[in-house]
Amino acid sequence: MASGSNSQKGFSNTKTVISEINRDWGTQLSLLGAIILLGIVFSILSPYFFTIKNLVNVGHYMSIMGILAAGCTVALIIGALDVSQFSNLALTATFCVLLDRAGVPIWVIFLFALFAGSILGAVNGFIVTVLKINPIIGTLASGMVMRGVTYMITEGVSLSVTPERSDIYYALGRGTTLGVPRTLIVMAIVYLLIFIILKYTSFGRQIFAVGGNPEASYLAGINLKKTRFLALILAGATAGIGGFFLLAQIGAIQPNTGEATLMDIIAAVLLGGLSLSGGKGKLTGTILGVIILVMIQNGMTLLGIQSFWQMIVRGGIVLVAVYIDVLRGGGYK
Amino acid sequence: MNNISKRFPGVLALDDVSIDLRKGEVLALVGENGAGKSTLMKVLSGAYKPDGGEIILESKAIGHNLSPSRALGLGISTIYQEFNYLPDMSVAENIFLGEIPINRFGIVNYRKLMSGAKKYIDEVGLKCSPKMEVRHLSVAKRQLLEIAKAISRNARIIVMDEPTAPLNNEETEILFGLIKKLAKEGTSIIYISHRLDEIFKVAQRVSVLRDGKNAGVLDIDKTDRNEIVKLMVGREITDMYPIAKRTIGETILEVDSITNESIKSVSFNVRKGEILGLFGLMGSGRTKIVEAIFGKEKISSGTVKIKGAARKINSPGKAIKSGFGYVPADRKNLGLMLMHSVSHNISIASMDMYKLLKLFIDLRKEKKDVLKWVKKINIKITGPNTIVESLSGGNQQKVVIAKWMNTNPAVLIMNEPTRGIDVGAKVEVYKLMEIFCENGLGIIMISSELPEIMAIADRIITVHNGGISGSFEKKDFDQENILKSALGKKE
Repeated sequence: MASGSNSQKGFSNTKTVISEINRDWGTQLSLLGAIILLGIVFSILSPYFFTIKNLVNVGHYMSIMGILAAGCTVALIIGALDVSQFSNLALTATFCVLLDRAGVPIWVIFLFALFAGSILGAVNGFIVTVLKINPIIGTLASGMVMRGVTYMITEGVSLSVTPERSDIYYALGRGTTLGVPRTLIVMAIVYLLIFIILKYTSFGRQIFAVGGNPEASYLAGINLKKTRFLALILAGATAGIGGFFLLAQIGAIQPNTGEATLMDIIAAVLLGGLSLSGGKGKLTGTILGVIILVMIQNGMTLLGIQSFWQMIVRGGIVLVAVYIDVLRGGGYK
Repeated sequence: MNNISKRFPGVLALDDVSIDLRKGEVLALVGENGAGKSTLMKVLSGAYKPDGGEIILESKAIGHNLSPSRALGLGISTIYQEFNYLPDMSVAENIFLGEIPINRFGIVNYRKLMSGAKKYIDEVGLKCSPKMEVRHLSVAKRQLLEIAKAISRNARIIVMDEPTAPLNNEETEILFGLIKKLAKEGTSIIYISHRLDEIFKVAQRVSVLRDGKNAGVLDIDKTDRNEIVKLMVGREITDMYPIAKRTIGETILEVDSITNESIKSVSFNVRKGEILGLFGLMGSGRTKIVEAIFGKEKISSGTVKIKGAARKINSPGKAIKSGFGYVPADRKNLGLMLMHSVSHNISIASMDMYKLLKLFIDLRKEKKDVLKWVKKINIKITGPNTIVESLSGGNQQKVVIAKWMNTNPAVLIMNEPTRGIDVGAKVEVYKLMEIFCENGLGIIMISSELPEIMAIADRIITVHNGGISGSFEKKDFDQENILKSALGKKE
């Protein structure tokens, strides 16, 4: 009798464990499956796909998007989607080019990028917390303003860094250490820092709380404005870092940088399990979402699929990603 | 409804449940939270598809493709706890929503709309113009509007889910009058309520559900409260209010003539180990008072002294630091982060206690404290990572209580602490309050249930129109006098 009830208890425990794994890691596991599947399909279709050269290339491209997506994750967990990140990146990078031409040391330029990105994030913070404007609309508008300023400063043309220093930029942006693209290492550091913030600091806990239920969080003594403000600053800071390293990769900044890829980040974070309504999410999901998206783009390019088809596919992925969010219960009601 | 079954992932919400409803009858449906009442009613209204069983209306089987609109067409109207209305449209438009009268050019016939609406407005005793926008109506009137809507659709069956929850006594009486009138005219009513006294006033029979199964059907004339409760919980509850002799200590909270937009010169004090009852009707300002003390609403004048020190409290954060805790009435929207874990919910108001090197969280200490509370107040979970949303109402409320007790408050404000939780959990909450009092906590308890507050509180102050209208010591508790005082009537 006793052993019977024990085994039953054991069974139900196994079941809870499985359901908890499913709840906590289901998205990640299915994304991992999709990545492996896509990898196999692309390797078969294109012999070039699974070569070191291509993977390093993908790594470079992915790292910038990944850095921004990490900041976007923080903003979206708190329920304030930041769609101005790429405009922030372009404007910050433009400032960086100007500083570079003025002969400012590169490490100062990097710190400046971090600072400028954060300031632009703080502008979003002001729009969302003080003016109380819906974050998507607010950052859409601020992004337009940033983009406009970028065009104004650059007069619509691409600006390159000073030729004498382009080697240093190249080493930073496209160099590798032990075969790993350096920007990918930067991305890993950004992820580690944000992971620690989200998981091991009370600020991180408050971000989740405010995103999950702002009113309950307020009653629990959390300063809503401060938390939202800081989260948007963090999103801006990642855009600033991304801006610096993109400039390093290309050696120049085009004023329309990222105009077409705005939605890719949103698609990536939603694929990664975040909800448009906020309150939940994991960085591991975000990075897997970024990998999938970049893989699909790279694969399509290697297969010679025309860009308008790629656009249609990417739009389709955004819809699928948002629809998955709907299925998880974050739908538009 | 015969042998209805409904399965959700992981739970059998309804297991072979049958109810029968007679013409012109008021059938009460009772059961603890999670017993399956709402699920059963959602099957009836077409919102859920049953996995088994059948619904027979006037000896005809309805079949399995019941949708909400088809249910309405068959004359089955449901009034949910959260009403469905459009706040910025007129009463008339809300009544005829979906079937607005139009003329032959397809344009709204306003004259017909207004006169038609007027008829139903009068019928339910809703004293207002059909042109009035719904957001200007009180909660009670919105309730009547929902009924008008049901009548306008020739409802043969009206399901009411906890209709009196937001109503005061007078409004409840009006509603009961209307229910009786409708029943006399041949409408059948299924009445869901947690308040057993009401069932005895309005229903003819009562059907009890327990754990998704039929627990029994009783004639109201031939039963009593105890028998119903016994069927609901499956055991006998002998001691509903476990009151010990309390030892009351020195004054811990002094509220001196605090005033703002919605409250007028409110003064009272609370002593250690004492439960102060705050009783008032819906809209009396009782919640505004505690929210002002807790820093959610601003205070324009007056002082709050806790543990002997005057404190300027202008945010909940300050209130928590000063030694207040607040269990809000709206557990789901104000008390919890539903999709987060039990652990995160319990520690969120006391993150300061878990600082490690200023920036980080001491996860080990946090887990220890969470487990301590889970054990101490008997929260039934598989582990601290359980998501709060999956818990029953009673366990959710315990999580809220644990959250506040973990901040180590001197005064705990509890706004309707037993609202919407089942009988067994209620008793547990009372017991917890008792233990907290023993440890020297001062409790302010708001309740709209007079029997409850009279049993639990040591003193009761009544709130009327934003001010204190009366104060009663335990020995002077008298239902009628307290109610009169809450209604603002002088003796």
